[in-house]
Amino acid sequence: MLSVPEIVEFFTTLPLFRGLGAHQLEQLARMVRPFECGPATTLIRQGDESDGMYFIRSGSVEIRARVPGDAAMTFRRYGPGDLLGEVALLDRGVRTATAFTLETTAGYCLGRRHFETLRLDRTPASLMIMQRVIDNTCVCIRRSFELIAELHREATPLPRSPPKVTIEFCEAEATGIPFRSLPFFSRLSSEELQDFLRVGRLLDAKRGSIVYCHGSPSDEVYLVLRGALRSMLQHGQARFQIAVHPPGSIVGVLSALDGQPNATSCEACEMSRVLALKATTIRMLQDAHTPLAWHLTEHIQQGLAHVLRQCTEHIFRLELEHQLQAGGKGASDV
Amino acid sequence: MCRVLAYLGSPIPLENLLYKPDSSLLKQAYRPKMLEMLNLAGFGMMAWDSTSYVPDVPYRYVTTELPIFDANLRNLSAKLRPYSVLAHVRGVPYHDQVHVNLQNLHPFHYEGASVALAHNGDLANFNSYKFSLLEHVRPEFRTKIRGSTDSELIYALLLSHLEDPGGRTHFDELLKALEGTLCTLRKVRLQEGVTRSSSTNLFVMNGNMLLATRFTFDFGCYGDNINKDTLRYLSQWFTVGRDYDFHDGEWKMIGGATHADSIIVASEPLTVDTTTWLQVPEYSALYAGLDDGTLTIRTVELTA
Repeated sequence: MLSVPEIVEFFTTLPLFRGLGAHQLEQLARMVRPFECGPATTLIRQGDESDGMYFIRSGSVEIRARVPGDAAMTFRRYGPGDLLGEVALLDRGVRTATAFTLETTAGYCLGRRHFETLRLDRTPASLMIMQRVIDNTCVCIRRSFELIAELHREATPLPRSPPKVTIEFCEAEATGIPFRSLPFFSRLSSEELQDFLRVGRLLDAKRGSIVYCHGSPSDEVYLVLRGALRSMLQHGQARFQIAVHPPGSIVGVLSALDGQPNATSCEACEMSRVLALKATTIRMLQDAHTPLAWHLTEHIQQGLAHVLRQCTEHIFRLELEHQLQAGGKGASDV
Repeated sequence: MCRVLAYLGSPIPLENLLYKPDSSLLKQAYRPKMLEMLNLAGFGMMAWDSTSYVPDVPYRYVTTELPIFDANLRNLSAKLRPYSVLAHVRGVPYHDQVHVNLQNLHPFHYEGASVALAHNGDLANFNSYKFSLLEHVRPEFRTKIRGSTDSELIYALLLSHLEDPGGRTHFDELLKALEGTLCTLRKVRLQEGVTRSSSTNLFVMNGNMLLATRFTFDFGCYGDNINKDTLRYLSQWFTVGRDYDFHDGEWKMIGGATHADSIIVASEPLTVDTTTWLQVPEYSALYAGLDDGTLTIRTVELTA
């Protein structure tokens, strides 16, 4: 078994943890348990509750999913330095796919209990680790968007409504919003809620209006208070719905966090009221290491996990339609 | 709210859908997995069987009793092997203003009409605008309305939007009529100032074709009270493949998508394990067609 310094040494090689200090990596190294399994071993099983996330040190893992008709779809391979299995930890949901070793594979597992401990202990080091996991999820989401665009390229685009370009917001008030019944807000104290409302802007968006455009730089995120927003992926003239965000959701964090242009556009699918927060405000809140920062970080994690799950469903659905159209050409890899 | 199931494909023992899976439709009446309330206000079913007398005409069975205690239904389910099924367990609010009777049971199907409809959802404040909606229903269908539900009025509206409600309906016409129905509903709701979230998951079938919507008006818009149902888009799931049965210790279809000849669309999966099911996207319709044993499916975003 490797010692803590050896595990730390491995973590320092991971791009995911670049910039983390020795203290943070040591904290993480003390929490993980090493694993090693032979070829053809199921590391993660689709539909199971999460037992943890896995850092691959050596070997390789294939991600497969069971789709309707009990067929297996293979859609990615992971190798040394990759992290897998974090989504079900972030949103406390079930596994979206199965991870299957292709050869003898070794690495480290951060168990669910330890992940929750990191969430609860609320130290700056834990917050930093959580933010790195979020960064990794952002990369996965962008990769999923690329895959979806590619799959749509192969399909004959269906006629869709033309893109709308209006950005139509008007100032709104907080009256009539039952914050205590909404996810995220229900966890805030009265003072935190007031602080939060003070740093944000309450806005109303008409049904069909664009909140932000594909390719635009992002400097704001939106918390949905009433109605719903949706993320649309643009491909040529066609637009595809990726995710619907109900009241309580946080939208637009991907670009706000990774600093890249918006990969999707976002529109109000109903008459909606949102709380807009500057990306700089989000970072400032997170850097403050207050309980609010923790609630926010967890909420961002869940929001990203929601988008990633929706992407996965979208990929499965597209692949299924392709296979049905192909009729008898055999299962394909995506 | 209710629970609905539609099946289209190769002939299947009815009990494989209604009774046997661990979360079969009838079990969803008293133990739904994705709904807080129970569905105790009756059961209805239409099914098409190519071996039956006049195969194009479906048979219909409805009961206001709790279907799980219905021995007749149990016996029939063990004998029948339809190739197309539309079944519904009705859920209503728990109070004495609700009419639990045969007229209000889904699926709705007027004599001579080519399609039947079942509804999962609830139009908020329906009573305040049902007479305005009636103005958009063609006179020949107004006289056929027997029940008091929003669902039957939606059915009458849908037929009113079809150019030839008794003729063989193609997918494009049906989709257009469905969009027209939803647009009319939206217009009337707007006129009457109704802005509360209203789920309208519709299942429209004619034996060889299925159109299932996952659609909510004013999703996320609440009144004085907010509940979990306002915050969650009403579910709609589907699975495809062949031979829905108990394979390798679980209820599932087999054969993969490339050899699929059957589809199940349901408010929630028929098994606790949802891994071989997918969700119909929000604000969309799933179309499934069966032509000479070949299954076609496509999802279409609704613009209503």
